[in-house]
Amino acid sequence: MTIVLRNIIICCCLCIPVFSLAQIAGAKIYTLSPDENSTLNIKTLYQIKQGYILAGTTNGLYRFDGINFTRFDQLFNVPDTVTAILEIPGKDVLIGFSNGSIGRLVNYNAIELIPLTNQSREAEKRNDTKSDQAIPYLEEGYPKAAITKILEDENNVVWFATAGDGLWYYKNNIFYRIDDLDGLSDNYVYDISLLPPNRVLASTDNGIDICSYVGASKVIKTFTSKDGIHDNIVRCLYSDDNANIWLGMQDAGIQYYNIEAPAATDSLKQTPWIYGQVNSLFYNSSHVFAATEEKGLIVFNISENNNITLQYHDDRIAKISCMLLDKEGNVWAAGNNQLMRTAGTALEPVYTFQSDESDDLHTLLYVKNGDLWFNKKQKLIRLAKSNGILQEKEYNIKSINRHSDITSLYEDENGNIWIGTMGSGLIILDPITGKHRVVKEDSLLINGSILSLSGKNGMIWIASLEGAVSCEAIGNETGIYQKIKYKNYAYDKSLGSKYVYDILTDSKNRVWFATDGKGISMLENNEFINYDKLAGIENEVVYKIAEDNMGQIWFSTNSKGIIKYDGKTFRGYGLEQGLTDVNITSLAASGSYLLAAHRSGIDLVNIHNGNISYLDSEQGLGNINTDPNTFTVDRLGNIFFANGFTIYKYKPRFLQQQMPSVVIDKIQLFLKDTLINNGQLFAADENNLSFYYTGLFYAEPGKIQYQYKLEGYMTEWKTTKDRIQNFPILPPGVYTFKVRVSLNQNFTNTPEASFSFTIEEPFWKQLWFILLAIALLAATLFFIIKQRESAIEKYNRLEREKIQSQLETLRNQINPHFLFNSFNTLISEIENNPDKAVKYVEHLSDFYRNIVVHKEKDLISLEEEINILTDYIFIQQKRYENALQFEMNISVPDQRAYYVVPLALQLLFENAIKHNVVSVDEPLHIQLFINDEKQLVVRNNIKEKFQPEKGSSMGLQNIQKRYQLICSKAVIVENDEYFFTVKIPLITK
Amino acid sequence: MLYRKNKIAGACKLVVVMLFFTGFQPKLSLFQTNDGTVLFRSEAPLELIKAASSDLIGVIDNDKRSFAFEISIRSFQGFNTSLQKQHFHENYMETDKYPEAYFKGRIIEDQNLEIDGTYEIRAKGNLTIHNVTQERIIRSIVTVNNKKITLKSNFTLLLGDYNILIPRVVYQKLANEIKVEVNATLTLR
Repeated sequence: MTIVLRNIIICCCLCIPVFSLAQIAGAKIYTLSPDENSTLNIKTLYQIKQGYILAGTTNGLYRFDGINFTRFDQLFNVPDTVTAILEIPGKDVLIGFSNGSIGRLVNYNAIELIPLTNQSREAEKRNDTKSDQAIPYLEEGYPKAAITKILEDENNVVWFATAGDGLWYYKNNIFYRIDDLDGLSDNYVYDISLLPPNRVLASTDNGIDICSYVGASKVIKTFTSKDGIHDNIVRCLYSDDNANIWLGMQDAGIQYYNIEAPAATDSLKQTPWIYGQVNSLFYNSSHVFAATEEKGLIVFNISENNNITLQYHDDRIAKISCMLLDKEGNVWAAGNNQLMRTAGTALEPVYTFQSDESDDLHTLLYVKNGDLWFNKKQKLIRLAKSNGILQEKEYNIKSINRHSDITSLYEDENGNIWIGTMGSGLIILDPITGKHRVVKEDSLLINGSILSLSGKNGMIWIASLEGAVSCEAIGNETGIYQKIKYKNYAYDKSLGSKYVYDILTDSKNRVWFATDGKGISMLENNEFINYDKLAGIENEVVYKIAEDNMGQIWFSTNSKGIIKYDGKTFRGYGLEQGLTDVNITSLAASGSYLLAAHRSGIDLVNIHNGNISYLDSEQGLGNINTDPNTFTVDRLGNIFFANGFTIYKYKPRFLQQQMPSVVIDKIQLFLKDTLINNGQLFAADENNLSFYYTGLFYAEPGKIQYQYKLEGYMTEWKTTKDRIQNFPILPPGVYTFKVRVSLNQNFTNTPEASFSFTIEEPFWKQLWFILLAIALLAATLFFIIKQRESAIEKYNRLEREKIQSQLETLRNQINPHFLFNSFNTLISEIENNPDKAVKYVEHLSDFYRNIVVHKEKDLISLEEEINILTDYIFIQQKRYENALQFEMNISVPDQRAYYVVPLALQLLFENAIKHNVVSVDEPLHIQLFINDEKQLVVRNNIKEKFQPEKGSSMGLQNIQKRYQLICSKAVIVENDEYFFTVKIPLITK
Repeated sequence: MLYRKNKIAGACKLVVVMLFFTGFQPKLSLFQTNDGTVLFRSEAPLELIKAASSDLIGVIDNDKRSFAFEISIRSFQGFNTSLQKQHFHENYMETDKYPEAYFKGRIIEDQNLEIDGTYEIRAKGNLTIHNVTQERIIRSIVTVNNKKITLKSNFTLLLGDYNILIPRVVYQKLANEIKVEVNATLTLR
């Protein structure tokens, strides 16, 4: 049992190195599995402008952020298998499907189909054009086979290649079809590529076609094997320029083909192609990347005279169906459900050497003729190309002590190799003859321990544990025995320390010294200046010096990271600026980048803006050789270094972005996805917002970190690794959510994404509402006041009328005429019938009392009014006797139920007597009754006096006004030939 | 007995296939076979598995440049043990559900197959195995001699492509890459 276990452990231990050896630099494989039980195939890869890499698969469309795959939602009727993608920047992301349908991405989060059938077009027509997109006009139908590729040409015409249904182009809203009847070599189009000007290349089973349109007519020119194409089945193509194209074929591999001079082209045909059909290819910086069916990713190097040599191949994914070159310069290859990222041409393994330990290598040197020199402990190796293959040549140098390794190498102007050793001094070698000599002229160098060699303009500097030595050739001898003038700086105090790690002569011919414990010293015009305090590196060990193409000098230190000197000031780069480690042993400058090596990888410092990116285990570089002399730069700016047993070539990607990008994916309101536009206005209660964002940097997805700030809410940036931020209860205000992304803590000059929005004040705090409220209040007040004013007015008028009426009544009753008549009547009564006289006076007094009692009231009951009237009539009948006839027909309940204005009836009666003749011959007949319309009617016959009584008509008017004020009812006066009728409204209390 | 049944069924299918191709064409240039052989090999590190069938039926239409082939999965004989054969049918091929494999398509090269000679031609078509259809281009050597076509073809199949999943335990015994050899003689009808 234990034996089995031990065997397993041994097996595991054996397996690990096997796997790590198979790893090609920068290659990493991601597996896309929708779930455990199903599988899918990646059909196409595409990077959209936003930064995301999209993978079209047999199970829909996925978005890849460097770590996770996210499947896009599919709206109604969208098929599963995505076979082609094209972004038309600023307009659309088009998606082609295996059944020929074409769709588009809606807001970067769902796919919808573009209606293409005639029926749907008709339907859309009928329903008016709801969508803002133009509907394609289908004169020649629409694609009915898998869309293999979509391209947009320089005239914004979109081309669709199909697997079996010809080639389509979409121009001015019309779909056009190019097929075999038009001269296309076959309707099954594998691949298309733009061929400026205004042409499209198509590849089929029968060669390639150059297609173009002139007006509405289609022009096709076909090239087949008769024109020098090695294999008629051309599965993929890539146009290099206007005439030269790369072809990937079924059986004949790849071919570089010139359509203008087909016969002159040549390719790999002489060597048998063993990698299977080529499914996809592209050309980038003198390399051709080919995706093969059986042997994975193959990369060819194209030399200046178009010789094609195999660079490397990686068959961890044996079948590759599609590839992608992303913005960072990574090359992606996908097959089945695997997605592989490689560093593309940027990082390239050059040679793998055999030795006891990987750190036997201490120094690596690129020399003028293109050879690489390095050591394996005390052995010196030259690596040179022979028949296209790098081969080692070992130089046997006996004078190197068995215990002293080679530490440094230098090629002088005559091509001799200077070899610095640890304990065996300096040796000069003629690489052609192999002859060498040990330098013994200078006492310091005898058995010296040399740490680095450098030189410029014939002056060679030796840095050693014994001090610094400068060497200058004298005389015309160029061989290894040339005469050399030595100058020692061992005991020069101003050098600081006699332990010197590195020496650099810069472009201004200043000589810089890296010392152990005394910082940096500089020799200019034979004078030393020591910078340790000034550079902030007192008592610090400086390992290496490098100068970039802007003339800035960089120093690497033991514990302070790297220091930059721009000619005026020193500036430190440490962890805060984004370095991974502060113990930097090796430096190399190339183009815009400075490479700083440390135990866990290489930090790449952008010399212009200080941004730092990385090369580390993510790129398969987990074991960088950090010896100070292992970085060497060739004349093209390629940097060579060793990782484990392999020598790599790295070319910083000058054109590609070496910075992450950031996208705000979506915004949620109350944790629910909503369609929200930048600048959105939210109501006061829509105040719970979540922001989802993603930083994209495919070479180092694990290093992404974010800083966010909600302007208007926070003043400081907050650092986080989270990709969601939620703000639950935002007060009303104007906000901008900003997020920026970096690979380290250094967030200066980093890309940023933002979203602005406004949360409105609640409506009751908004100006319009406040104004409205004030207006409403004012209006109400105004109305109330108005109302009250009119009530008072009415009251006053009533009062006035009442007083008027009283006055009238009183005037009438105290009218001397009335009194005189009354008294005359009384006198005659007293004379004739004293008893009746008493009664008469009683009535008269009642009458006056009632007037006094009721005059103040607004209303009195009909009964009371009739009492007054009775008194009045009694008084008047005494005078007129039978000449005045009175007839009343009102029941007692009615008298009690209704009310009238006081003295109204009395006034009317008085008017009747006043205006008419009252005589026995023509008696005045007055009726009082309630009519059907519930009006109190006073009616008298008319017999006008010959001399109309003078008197104002105020009495009647007064009654009318009082009724108007009390009950808004009219007193109706009818005056015909015979009768004078007044109808008084009856009021119920 | 069962074997003979298969043969009869195969012959019937051939008739159907031929009907599909003949239609109402007056002139015929149909080549057919009903006893072609198909051999497959799985060369896994720990085990070599071989099986063969000579029940391949098929037609090539020289005029239309098209072809159709079909084989009954049940007809494969060989295997190292009967248990292995049982696994082949039940676990991997699901023969009861998907009893046949097909290859239909067209010939890419323009070579007239009524002229004597030896040619390399490529057939492009849909290869359906285990109910999964993959588009393949398969290369063949054909020798035409007196209106008789001798066809020989070697190609490989990846089990993964046809949704035939190999359990981890048999990784060492069953290769993902299966080598297939086809030999058939087609005669003019």
